[in-house]
Amino acid sequence: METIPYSKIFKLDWRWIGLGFCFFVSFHLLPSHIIYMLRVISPAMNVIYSVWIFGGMAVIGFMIGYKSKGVTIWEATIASAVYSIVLLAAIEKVWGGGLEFRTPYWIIAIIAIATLSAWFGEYIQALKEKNIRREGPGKKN
Amino acid sequence: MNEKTESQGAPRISEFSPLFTRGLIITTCATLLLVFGTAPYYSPFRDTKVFLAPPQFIASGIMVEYGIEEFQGFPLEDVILQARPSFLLSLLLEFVILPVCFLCSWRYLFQKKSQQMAIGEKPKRHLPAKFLFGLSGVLIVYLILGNISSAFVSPNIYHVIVLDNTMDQNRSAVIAQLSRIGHKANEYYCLPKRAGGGEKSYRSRLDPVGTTPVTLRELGMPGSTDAGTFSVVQIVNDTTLICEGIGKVALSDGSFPEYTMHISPGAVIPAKIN
Repeated sequence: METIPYSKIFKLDWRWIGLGFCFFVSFHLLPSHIIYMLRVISPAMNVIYSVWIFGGMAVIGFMIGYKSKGVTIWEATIASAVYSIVLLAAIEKVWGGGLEFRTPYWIIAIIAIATLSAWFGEYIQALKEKNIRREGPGKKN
Repeated sequence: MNEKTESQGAPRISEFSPLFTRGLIITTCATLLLVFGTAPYYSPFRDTKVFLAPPQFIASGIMVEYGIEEFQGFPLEDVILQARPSFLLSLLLEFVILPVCFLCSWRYLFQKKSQQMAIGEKPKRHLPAKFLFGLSGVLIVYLILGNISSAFVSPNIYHVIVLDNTMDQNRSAVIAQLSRIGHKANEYYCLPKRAGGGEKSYRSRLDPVGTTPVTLRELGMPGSTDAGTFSVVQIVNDTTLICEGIGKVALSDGSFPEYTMHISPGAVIPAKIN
C-alpha cells in the first residue's frame, strides 16, 4: 500500500490562508463595521451585529471550504485564528468592549465555527464532485 | 492531503480571476484602513457595551451545561452571561451542528428516496433520519425566529439587561454600606463611654437619658454615598438599632430600592422593603 509522506499530510496552501484572511476581512469585518455604524438607526442592530459576528464566520468558513479546489480546512483555521486577533482589536479598540469578549471561549468559538464550517464546505464540495463524476460532466444535477 | 499543492509541476489554475483577487486585496486593505484608521473620528459614538448575547445563544448552552453538571452531581452554579462554556456550546449548536444535521439528513432522505424510486423499490421509512431532520429543522426555525424576535420585537432587551445589572449593583452597594454601618454601630455598642462608645447601648451620647438613637455622624459614617442615602430609624430596648438605606437607581415602577438593617450585638441582618 502506498504511504503518504508525513510532510505532505500537513502541507498548507499558504495562498488560501491569505485569501481566507482577505475573505474574513472583506466579507465579515466590513459588514460588521457597517452594522455597527447603523446602530444609530435602531438598537435592533445590536442583536443583528451579535448574530453576524458568529453567523458570518460560519458563512465565510463554508465559502473557503467550498470554493477552494483542494482541501482547505486547516487553512481556514489559521486564517480565522489570525482574523480573530484583528476582530478582537476592532471590538476592543474601535467598537467598544463587549461582555467579556477577551475570554478565550470567544476566540475558541470563532475558530471552531470557521473550522467546522470549512469542513462542511469541503464535504458539500466533495458530494457535488461525486455527483458530477457519477452522472457525467454534462449533467450537473 | 492537499491535492492542489501536489500538482507536480502542472500549471496552477486559480479559483478566482486575477481581477477578483486584486479587488479582494484592495477591499481588505481599504476595510482595515476604514476600521482602524478612522477610529478616532467616531470615538464620541463609541459604546462601552456594544455586544449583546441574544438569549437563545445562552439558553441552549446553559441547558446542556446544567444537564452535565446535574448528571455529575455537582451543585449548580448561578447563571452568568459571560465566560461560560455554555456560550461556546450554544454557538456551535446554533451555527454548526444543527445546520449540518439538517442538511445531511435532508440530503440522505431525498437521495435515498430518489435512488429507491429509480430502481423501482418501495421507499423505506428511514425513521432516524426523519427524526433528525424534523428535530434539527424545528430547532433551526426556533433559533431563527428567536433571533428575529429579539432583534425586532424587543429591541431594548440590551438596555434591560444593562439596567438590571445596574440595579443589582446598586442593591448590593446599599446592603454593603448598611453592613458597614452595622459594624460601626456594634463597635460603638462595645466601647465604654470614655472611649467614645455607647457602653452596652445604641443610645446617643448626646442624649444619655432619652431614647434618641446614635447618629451616623457619631458613628463616623456618611449619610449619603454614591449608592444611596442612609439613616438611623429607631432604637429598640437599647440592644437593637434599625437603620435604613435607599438606593439611587430607580426601579421599573419609578420607586427606589429600600433596605433596613436590624443591628444587634453580634448580628447584622438586612431586610428588603422594596
